[in-house]
Amino acid sequence: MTTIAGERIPRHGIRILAIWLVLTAISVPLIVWVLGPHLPPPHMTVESGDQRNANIVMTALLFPIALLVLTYFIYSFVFFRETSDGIVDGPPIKGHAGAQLLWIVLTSTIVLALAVWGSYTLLAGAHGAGGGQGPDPAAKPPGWQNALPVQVIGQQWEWTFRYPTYGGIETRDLAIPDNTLVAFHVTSIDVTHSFWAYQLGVKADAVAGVDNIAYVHTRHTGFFQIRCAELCGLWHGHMSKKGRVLASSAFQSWIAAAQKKNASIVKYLPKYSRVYYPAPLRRAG
Amino acid sequence: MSASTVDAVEQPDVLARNIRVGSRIWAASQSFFFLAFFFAFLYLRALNTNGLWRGWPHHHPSPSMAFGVAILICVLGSAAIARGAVLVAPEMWRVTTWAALFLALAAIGLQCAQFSSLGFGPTDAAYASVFVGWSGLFTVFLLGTCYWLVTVIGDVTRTGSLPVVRAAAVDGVGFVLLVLAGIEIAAFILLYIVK
Amino acid sequence: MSATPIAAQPPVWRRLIGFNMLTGLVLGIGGWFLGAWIGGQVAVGHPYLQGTDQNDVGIYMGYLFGVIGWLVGLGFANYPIGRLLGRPPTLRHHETGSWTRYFRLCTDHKVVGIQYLFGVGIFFFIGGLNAMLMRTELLRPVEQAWPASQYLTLVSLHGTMMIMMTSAFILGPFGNYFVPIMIGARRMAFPRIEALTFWLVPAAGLILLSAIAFGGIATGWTGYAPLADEGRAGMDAYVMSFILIAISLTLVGINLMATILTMRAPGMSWTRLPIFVWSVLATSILQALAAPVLVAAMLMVLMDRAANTSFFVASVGGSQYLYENLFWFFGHPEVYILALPGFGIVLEMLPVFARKPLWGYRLAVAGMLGVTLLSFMVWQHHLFVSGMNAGLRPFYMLTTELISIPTGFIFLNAIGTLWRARIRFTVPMLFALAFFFNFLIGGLSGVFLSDVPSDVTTHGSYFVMAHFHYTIVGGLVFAFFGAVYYWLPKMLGFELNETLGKIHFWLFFVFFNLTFFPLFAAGFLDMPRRVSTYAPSLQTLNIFVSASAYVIGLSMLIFIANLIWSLVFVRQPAAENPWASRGLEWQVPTPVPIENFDRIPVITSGPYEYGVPNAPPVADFAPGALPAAGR
Repeated sequence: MTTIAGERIPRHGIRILAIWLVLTAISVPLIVWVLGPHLPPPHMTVESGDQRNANIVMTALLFPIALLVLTYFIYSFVFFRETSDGIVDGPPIKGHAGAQLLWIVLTSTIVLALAVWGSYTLLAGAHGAGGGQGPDPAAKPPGWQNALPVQVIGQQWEWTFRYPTYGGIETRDLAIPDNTLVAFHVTSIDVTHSFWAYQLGVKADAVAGVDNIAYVHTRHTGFFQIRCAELCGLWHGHMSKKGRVLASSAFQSWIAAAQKKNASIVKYLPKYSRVYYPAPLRRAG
Repeated sequence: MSASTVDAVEQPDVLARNIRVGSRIWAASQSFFFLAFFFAFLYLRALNTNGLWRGWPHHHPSPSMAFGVAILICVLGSAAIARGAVLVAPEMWRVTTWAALFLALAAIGLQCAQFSSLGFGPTDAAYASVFVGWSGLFTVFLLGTCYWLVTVIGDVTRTGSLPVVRAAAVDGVGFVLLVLAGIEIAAFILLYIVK
Repeated sequence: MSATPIAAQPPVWRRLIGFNMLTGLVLGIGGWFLGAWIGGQVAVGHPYLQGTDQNDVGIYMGYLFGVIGWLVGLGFANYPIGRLLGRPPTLRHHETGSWTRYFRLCTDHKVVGIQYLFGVGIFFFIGGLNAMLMRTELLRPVEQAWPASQYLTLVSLHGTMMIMMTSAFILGPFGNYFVPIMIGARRMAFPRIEALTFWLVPAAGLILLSAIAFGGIATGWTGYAPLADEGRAGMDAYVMSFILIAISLTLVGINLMATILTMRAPGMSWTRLPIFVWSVLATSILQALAAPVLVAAMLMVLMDRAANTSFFVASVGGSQYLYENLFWFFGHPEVYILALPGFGIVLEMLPVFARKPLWGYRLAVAGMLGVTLLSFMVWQHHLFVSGMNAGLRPFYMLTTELISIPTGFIFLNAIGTLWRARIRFTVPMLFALAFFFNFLIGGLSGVFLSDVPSDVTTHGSYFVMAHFHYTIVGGLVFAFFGAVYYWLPKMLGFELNETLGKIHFWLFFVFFNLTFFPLFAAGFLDMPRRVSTYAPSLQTLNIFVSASAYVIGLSMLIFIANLIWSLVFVRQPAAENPWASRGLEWQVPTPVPIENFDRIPVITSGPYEYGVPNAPPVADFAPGALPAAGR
């Protein structure tokens, strides 16, 4: 920094950068290796694993940015405060073209890199395949043509699941097999709901008249929590239940038992349809 | 009605500028309002949920083209006269404003007549909903603009009959009518031709 | 107006008769009954309006006529009718010294500013009370404090009231009061419209509150369509009040834009314009263009409910995506309507308390205009998992992440202004600095939400809640309180107690962060929004959050106590320029004269020339070259 009137001005910039570098060097490894495994969603499927990695990358990138701004502010509160009782003006610095340019270049680079990385992982890597993509998905994981279709029907205030490849059986409990690519076809028969399977890394809005497809490739057996993530009326908070990822053989026996149990009802159900409608409004006149 | 009997609150040229600028911004706000209906038409038509965009099979609502053309001509004429007068014959402002008002009122009357003999209603699926909503609300905006035209004719401006303020008011209402005419052209093309 | 001797004044009850708030209330209630009756007559026998389980037409007509009665009672019909009849009515209304002018149609922009301050303030506190009641419900993971319907109504009222009222939080009080003074003008471009924009606000607030009596609102502030179509009569109150507020927002935008464009004093070039005025200009652009889309969307909901149209009903050819797209096309610029004035306020205050020029003035302007432009291009990030066209998701991810670049400029301005500054930690400065801390967290959490894979977990969860509370409360509301402590000495002429101010600040700041930071975790831990039942493992977290929220409420009570103490009891007159600011608004006397300036000043330098040797004064108040009766 320049000297004014023979007085040496401390090199604030270097100090701030040094403090920031030390803090970043400590925090980023902590984020990646200590916090990272605990970031959501829990790693139960390929998609949830990918989403968790996305969260780790972003936290590791954004936390140092926040640290830099915070370090600067706290430093300035300590070193740039007015200590006398009066009102003393500071140096009349109105801007600095170099600093502005550097900031613009840095922020634009980070943002564009994030956007490119995000789009690439979303489409090519199908990391966003757990998010509902409508009837014409763009991010399709490999093997999507042979995915096991499971239909999720939302209504006020319950979830129903149909398995079209198993004769269209209808259950209120969701079970899916391990190590399988599952395609959820989410729809609604009244207002808008949202099918959120937390540990699976799946969230797809249930919209009347729309077949909203979300993919998930299971990796571990266990329970997962299902909730509704779109306000749908009085008992929105009650639309929660547990689903299960079963080992393949256990799934087969579960399906067989469900088919037997529901056989008498299934024959009266309407033919399997990707979307359902409530009764049309009564036409006036 | 001279300047001395009315509070000279604002200098006339500032007032005139305010009216001009305000009318442009108001026209922009109006355009965005109808942009919503423009989008609704195109979007619902593209989605064609359940195949019901035009209505139930064998019962597609169809508004009378004669009414549509008549309303369009009235609105276009009103805007052309109001705006054209500003550019070509500003001293004839009283006559042209009367003519613009008459044509705008005629458009409103025709629209009301069409609504009363529509043959379909708002319940007849998506196209009918957009038609009723768009045409109805356009008529409301046209009615408000008619009020503005009446006040211009009445020539009661804030500082009396000062020419610069009156000229700004004529210019402002002409511009708003012009933008409304543009919206009506879009409405006609979409609602009557594209359907 | 000179004071009439007491003996010559008519009795109190006579003075109450006239065009004022009381008359407005009486005519409003009368209008409500009249409208409901008309609506009933209209609906009977009309096939398109039957077939619903309540007479929405009657309800809407009731509200419409109520609002018309309210406005007529206040005197807003006098000018239009006068013009139609050819009688030139007066253009100044009640610009006097009497306290009653605050309860009438007053065309003095300073009066409108103070009306807004108390008007939106009251609704802000009602919304805050709703929040306290909501947090009480969330103390236990089952329904326990309120029945489900009441809880949802509380959620909806809290959100709607806060969004509606905070949309005008800064432009209303401070935009109206200070923008004319800051640009060297005597009044705004359209003073009567300005008064109208204020008086629509209590009408909208009362209509919204009336929803409690009509079955409540079950959709949250977003009013998503299929659920909104089937809602009970309280939903009509939501639609009507939102329409009124959107109209008010549009008119405010038009008025402020016209004022800033046409009524700047000589010498007030664009590069000398205070940064607050730039932020008001940017916000006005958003308001004038985005709010009409909301009016259209709400009218479509109205038609769906009252006339059985099918804009949003899938089984009859409509689509809920239409609602989401229209609503968020407004909704996203709306949140920048909330954020931009906050930017303007804090950048306005930083130079004063850092005693340095605003660093990077042009960059700040570019940032605000960049945000304005980009905010129209990001809205589909609210629809990422809705089943929207999946190929568009990368585009909206890009635009949403791009908008963080101009937003970041504001931080660079702050960093530069604080560089080697001489900071004084007054109460306004504390709020301004806290703004940057809070908005940093809020803004960065937005980056998580903009990434589609990450959004799969966080959409519709408490993570989103924490994000927008950090940006709106941590941003706008903190900026609002900073502006209150900064400008109240000029607006009302009395000092506020500094100790109480600091207690308010620290309690608010610390407990705001303690309330909302854990909610990021709650969202990450599978808690959706707008629920009153949640996983029992999250109860400890929720109790902690509720307790912190109560302390926020306490800090607000301390603020009110400060107001009452300083304005009613102590009444210490404030100095004309207590902060030694170079702003033009601080160079006029306190209380500000009715015409603001004796003569329109000529601006001779910018307002941020702190530390500049031999800086010219900000304006020449007695310009000799201009005629005395000049502009």
